Order: sequence, then C-alpha cells, then structure tokens
Amino acid sequence: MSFSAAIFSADNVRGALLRKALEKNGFEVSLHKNIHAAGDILKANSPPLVLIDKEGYFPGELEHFSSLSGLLAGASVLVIANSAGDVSNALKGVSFEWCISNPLDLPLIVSKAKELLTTKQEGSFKALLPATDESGSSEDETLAKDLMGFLGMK
Amino acid sequence: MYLESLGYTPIDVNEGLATVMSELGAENFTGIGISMGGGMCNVCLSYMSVPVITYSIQKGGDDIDENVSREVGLSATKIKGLKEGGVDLSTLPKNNVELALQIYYTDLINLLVSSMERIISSSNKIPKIAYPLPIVISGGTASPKGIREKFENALKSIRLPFEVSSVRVSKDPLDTTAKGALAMAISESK
Repeated sequence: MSFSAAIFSADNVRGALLRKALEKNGFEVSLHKNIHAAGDILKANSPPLVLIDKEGYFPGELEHFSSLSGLLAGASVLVIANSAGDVSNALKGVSFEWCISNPLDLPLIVSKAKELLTTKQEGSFKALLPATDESGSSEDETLAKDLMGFLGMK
Repeated sequence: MYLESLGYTPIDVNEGLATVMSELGAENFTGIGISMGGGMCNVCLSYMSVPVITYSIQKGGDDIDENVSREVGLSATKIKGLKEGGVDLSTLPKNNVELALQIYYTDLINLLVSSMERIISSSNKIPKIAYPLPIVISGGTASPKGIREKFENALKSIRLPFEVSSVRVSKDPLDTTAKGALAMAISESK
C-alpha cells in the first residue's frame, strides 16, 4: 500500500535523506523548502502525512502552519525536532507527533510515519462500524461456543 | 551548456559518490566512496545514495610522483611510469624508488584518513547509523597492490562516528567513476 507524504525541510541533505527513506518504504513523497507555499500544497494534494523538519527554519516560519491547522486536521503531522516543546508554541492548534532531530533516526521516523497512518486508518474504519458493546457480544459468543462444545453440537 | 543544447540534462556527481554508485549497490549505496586520482582525492559518505558529506583533498598521484622524483633525482614522468608498472606496497622496498613510493603513498593515505576523522566526526549531518559501513577506494592511485592493507592500518589510528565493516578496492579502479556516473544518470532518468 502506498501513501503520499509532503516533507518540509530547509536542509537539502536532510530533506533528501527523509525523502529517500520514505520512498524506500513505499511512500510517494513531495519535498518542499518553502513553508509559505504549504497552504497551496496541502490544498492541492491533501497528503495523509505531513512531515516537518524543524532544522533550518525560524520559529516564526513554523508559525505559518498554525494558520493551516484546518487543512492539517485531516493529516497526520510528524515533526522532527529536538523536543516537542521546541515547536509546540509555533504549531499552536496543530495536532502532531515528533521524532528526535539530531541525529536523524530514519528507521524510527519511517516506523513512526507508518504507525501514524495505520492508527489513522484504523480510526476511520472503526468510525464506520455500528456502535456495539464489543466486550459483551464477544463474551456471549464465547459462552455459546463453550455450551455448544459441551453439548457436542457443531 | 553544450550538453543542454543537445537535449541532455547534465547533473554533477562527486567522484566519491560515483564510486559508491558503482561499488556499493549491495549495501544500498550506503558507505564511504573514495576516488584517488592524479590531482586530488574525492571522498563521499553516502546514505542510500544521498551524498551526506562530500569533500576533496588537493593531493593525489601527481604529488607522489613529484615528491618521489625530488627524493631520488629522476623525472616525475619516469616515476609515474615505474609506478604504473606495478608498485607493491605489501612487500619490503628493494630500492630507493620503491622506498620513496611507499613513504609518499603512506603519507597520502594518512592525510586522507585524518581528513576523514576531522570532517566526518565534526559533521552534524550524519543520520543515526546502527550498522558498520564499508569503505571502497577507486581511481588510478588506488591501483597498487597492498593499498587496502595500508588503508586498514591507517584507519586503526582514527575514530569515526560509526564502525567500518570492510575496506575494499574497486574491481576496476580506473573505470569505477565512469561506471558510477552512468549508474547515477540511469537512476536519475527513471
């Protein structure tokens, strides 16, 4: 299964590494430097994953994403920074996960990206199912199966 | 300009990266490629074909020829000829020329290795690497027998931010860069 991801990175090498690591794992990636073009990019492509590499951006530049919180609401946002606190002010109103920035841990970033998308997908599927008391029904089913087994019924 | 006028899209490739592209396919194009030429040595630390660190040192085979020439009183061209006739760095030198060649080869290798320690260790661009990386050397100056062992010995004196899995000389040192550039062009045009 392939997902598309938009990467925002000011650093050529880090951006290329992130792009290559995600592409190797089946993502279709677009790499961007200019944060101010993010609104147009998100509107045009609605990528399910948005990856923001804080390194090389000024906090003021990152604040631009706060104004895009509506557009980002449907995406999983993964921020590469030295701590979540580093960017929480700049990304007010944006729900995000983070990975450590230095050194760039590419396998961890890829697994986090996959996990975020899987969680989001599962959440979407669950939202589509009718609301039932799962624990109650499974207990009933188990009891019925036990009884049938005890009575030699198939 | 000229190539563009013919409809090509030229890209520049560091010779160290070309070495990686030619020789480290099995390692996912991850490792250090060193192209040892006449005028300079080009080094590239590549991660999945991304050139994370690239640099050059302005010394190469020509410096060896000139230095040996000065030491033994023969012309640099003559030394170059003797060098290309097959230097063996793994045996004891039999004459002044071989001794001088061994000394200046060792000097060049030590210079390369200490530059790797200085530049790679001070870089903050290297991603987390959890496994040892190979080093592959190519170019005409990497042709002498025994250069791999000399390189391995020199590496023992430095510290890099990752383990080195192996040092090897490319299969065809003189053509490695061209092969790597072709591999790069093919991958870029896909």
